[in-house]
Amino acid sequence: MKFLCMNCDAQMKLIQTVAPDQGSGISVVYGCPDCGNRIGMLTNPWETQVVSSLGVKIGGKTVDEVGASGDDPLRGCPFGEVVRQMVPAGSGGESPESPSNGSAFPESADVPSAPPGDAAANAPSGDPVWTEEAATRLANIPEFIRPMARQGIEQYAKSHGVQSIDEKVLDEAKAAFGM
Amino acid sequence: MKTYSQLVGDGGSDILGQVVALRQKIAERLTPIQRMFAIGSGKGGVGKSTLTMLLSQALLEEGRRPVIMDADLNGPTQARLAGLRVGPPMPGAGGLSVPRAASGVGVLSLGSYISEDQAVDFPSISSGDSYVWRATKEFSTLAEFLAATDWTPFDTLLLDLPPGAERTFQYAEFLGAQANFVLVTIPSAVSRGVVRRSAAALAKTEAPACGYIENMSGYFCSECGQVRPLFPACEDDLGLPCLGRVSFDPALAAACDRGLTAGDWVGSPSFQEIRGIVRRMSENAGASAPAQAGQAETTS
Repeated sequence: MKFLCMNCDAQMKLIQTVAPDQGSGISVVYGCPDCGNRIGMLTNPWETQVVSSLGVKIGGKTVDEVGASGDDPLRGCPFGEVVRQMVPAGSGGESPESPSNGSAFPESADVPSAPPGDAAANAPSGDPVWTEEAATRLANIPEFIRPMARQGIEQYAKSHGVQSIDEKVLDEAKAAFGM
Repeated sequence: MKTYSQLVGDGGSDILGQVVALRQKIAERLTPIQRMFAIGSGKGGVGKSTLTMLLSQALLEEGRRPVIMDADLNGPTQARLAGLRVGPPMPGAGGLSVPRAASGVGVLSLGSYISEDQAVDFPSISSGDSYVWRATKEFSTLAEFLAATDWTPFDTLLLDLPPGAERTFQYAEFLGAQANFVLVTIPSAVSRGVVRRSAAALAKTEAPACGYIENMSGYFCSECGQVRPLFPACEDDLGLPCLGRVSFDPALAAACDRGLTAGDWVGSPSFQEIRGIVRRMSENAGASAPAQAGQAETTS
């Protein structure tokens, strides 16, 4: 999908991805580089889901850039994780420091995801923390099964009194589960 | 006003770039795989999944290192056939680790992660009307698995496809020339007719059709040791070479339900037929060319 400024016959460029309101989809702002005219592309939840199902990310801004005040505009938003997955990190950027507060899908049993490198600060008390290397391994498996992997590995860690999940623990869990 | 093709790029999301990057990633990941077979069917219930498992065992005998990917995300059965228990997915150093059956065959199936009393649910921000997006989601999930799995221990990939003529066509377009398609039918005219239609649809794609297997070609009687017909004879041309015919062995069928072990198929006459089929599949198939999957046609 492309956007054309009818005044200038010029392609409009992506300017900003705006955090959705509760119950709505995503909002993306495009602007004409010549006249400055702006339009907003607004999607309802079904349209958002269709795009999400394609496995691509729309928007070109990090979530950090979206929230100019520094606050996480997606905090508490039930669709926050979907938007996060749909907005790729900018060049040189990292995952936002503020994690989503919980699963984006209330009906699922996902555990909260902690970003790499900041796991200790964000993990609920009592849960093992993930090292950056271990979290990277987890992030490299398909998103659909990632919560299952996280839950299984954390249960293994807790049952073995492990407080910090590193790559060695992952290899031990893998062997324990017969792989 | 300019037209779509006159606008360069997409204004910022680089969707096409993302698609190309994913295809390249899949091609890189599949580099260890020397040959890929997609096992499809026209109708369901023709024994496609069981045959896929048996084909993998015959490939093992030939010294290959097979892995089965259960592409039927909604009704995965390969985990049960392999006797795998439900457990969490495991991220290895090189990607998603593939569980192994006792025989050594790799089996990647959602049935390993989700128990049979649970539906396979994709998270959604929209409620209801999942028919709008679910098929798309399944293919993007499959692509994600192909791009994220550690295939290095294996050299032959068998994709157990969901049943249905339209699925065969969709997967042929999705996989392209790298997958050799094998269609499974039973002797009934109804089933053969749908396979004929699937073969005609396959001919419109780049995916090569290796041939077809006729399953349940007869009933193996363990008491008299003879194979008796299950269906009236039907020799109409399916437009594909016949790779072989496999008789129905009740003992083998029962073993499949509880999870196959090496002893279950070795003595079965059905497995003798499978060995011949694997040889003919190898003769008819070209080597997979994973690099081709990354060379998507790009348009601006």
